[in-house]
Amino acid sequence: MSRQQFKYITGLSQQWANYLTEESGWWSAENPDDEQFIPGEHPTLREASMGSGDEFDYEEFFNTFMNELNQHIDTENNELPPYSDYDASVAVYKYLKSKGMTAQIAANKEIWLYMCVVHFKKYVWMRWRNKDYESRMTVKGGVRRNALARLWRYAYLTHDAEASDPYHLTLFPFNLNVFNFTSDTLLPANRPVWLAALKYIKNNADIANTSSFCQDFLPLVRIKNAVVKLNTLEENELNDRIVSIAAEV
Amino acid sequence: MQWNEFVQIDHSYTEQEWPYSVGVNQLKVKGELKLLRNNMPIEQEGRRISGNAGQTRVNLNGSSDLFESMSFNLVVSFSEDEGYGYQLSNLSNDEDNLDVLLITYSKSARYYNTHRKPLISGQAVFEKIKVERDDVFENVIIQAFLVLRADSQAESNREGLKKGSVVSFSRNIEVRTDEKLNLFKGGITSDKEIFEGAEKNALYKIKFNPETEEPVLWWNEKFDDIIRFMQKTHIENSKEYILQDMMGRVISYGVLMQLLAGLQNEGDDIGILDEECLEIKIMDNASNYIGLNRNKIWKDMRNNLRNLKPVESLTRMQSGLKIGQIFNQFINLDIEEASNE
Repeated sequence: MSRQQFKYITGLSQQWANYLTEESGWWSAENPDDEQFIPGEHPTLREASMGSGDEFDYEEFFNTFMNELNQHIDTENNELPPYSDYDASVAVYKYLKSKGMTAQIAANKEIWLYMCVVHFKKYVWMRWRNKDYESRMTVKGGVRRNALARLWRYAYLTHDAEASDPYHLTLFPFNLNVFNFTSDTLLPANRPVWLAALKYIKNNADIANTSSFCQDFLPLVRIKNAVVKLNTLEENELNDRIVSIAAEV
Repeated sequence: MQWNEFVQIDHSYTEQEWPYSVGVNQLKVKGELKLLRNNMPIEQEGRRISGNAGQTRVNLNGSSDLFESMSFNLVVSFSEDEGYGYQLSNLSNDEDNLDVLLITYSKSARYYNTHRKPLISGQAVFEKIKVERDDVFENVIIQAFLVLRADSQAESNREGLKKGSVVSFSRNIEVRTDEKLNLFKGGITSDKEIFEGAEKNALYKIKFNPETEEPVLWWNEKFDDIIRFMQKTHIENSKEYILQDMMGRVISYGVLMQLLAGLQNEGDDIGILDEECLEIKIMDNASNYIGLNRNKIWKDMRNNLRNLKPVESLTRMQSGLKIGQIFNQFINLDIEEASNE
């Protein structure tokens, strides 16, 4: 893994609305490539970076990423469907990891904002233009809903390093509640417990991979873990406990 | 179950009623932290870690780019005389069935790690607990839990009996690795305009957007020097840095009061609010400074906040006190001279 520097604009999360105004046409361009945001044209914006080594090439990343998603593009409407998120998540995570993206760097919302508004406008437009376009493009409320940050975080928290295919959980078509719970709460960082819960859902998908089940099951795991620290259990005990929690749903 | 309900009973983050007796804050964590580069300490003296009330924060801002990892040497001890006065004898035969679980986490970076040691003679020693810089952002929280090592054989409906049940826990200790909760760089949108009338000399004010109800921190453009001074990155421990820090804290106090005042119309129970909603963020922001959890702050300040009806009065008060003018005068003096006064 090479380490690279990830460029961003200091404080852009506080200032973007001054440059990307509603009247500018940036948001409503029929072709997203018609209206670009070029930070160098604004002398008051200051660049900064995280990481070390060569400068990360955002354009190369964008091209590689879009090539990977090419198979999912609805060419008639020029859109990317929601189910493309699973492949997109692995693609974002693997590529950035190979360039030195760490959890520390990924937690800086300014990097994701810069990436979206400067280089990934077309992707965000194709994936989200009919819904939440602005919030997915920016980092209102942190990185949880940002179009790219959420993909990175999902793969980061669902990859199973011990498995022959470390991305078997990331690529499994869990329902949207799993995606949101992964992004929104701290429990997924508790790897043994989180992976056991995900594997339960995957292995019992016919009854467990539903919106209603996950909406009850995942918070219940979190509640139980608050009172009984589940990661003190042996693997088989933990799995048994997860089964018993599922039975309570 | 609604998504926000689990927050109310997740005891990792709140102090809601537990389903059984538990020793709140009866574990105490203390020790030292060493910052490492190439696995070698970069400072001669380690930094003290203390779980005593009011001493639970260590600030590494300014060293953020210098270290590659943190190494903690910690002693976790249980005292029956602290906190809620929970007695281990309540556990009957389980006094030798206890482990200390030390948890380190960084919420922003979704980092979470645990270490476990047996409780021997009332304490457990953790040596060289390492946290990599690459894994964390903004802060690292350290908290200890006393847990049952195996299922208890006791018959009780007042104690946790299952393996892993929490018997006691410590206060959180926060090691702040990066700028966080900085009201001037994140968390709240800011803008500037010329203040007029009775507010003309105020430095800042909070206005709630009538459509989104989001607060916006408005700076008085009259004091543009101050705004620039506050936004500039100063060299750590320089006089400018210390002055900026001091001013930031003074201003933060007022801003937080105004933000909290904006919550005056919330009901008695803020537990029903969504975790990511503005009110909760403000309460959690305040919580970091006050050292009480959000529910306690709300209970403590609710009536007073309700009396703080017009937020404008705080801005007018600032204007009357000429805070902006005095700050402006100060930063435009020769800094060296001013600091020696």
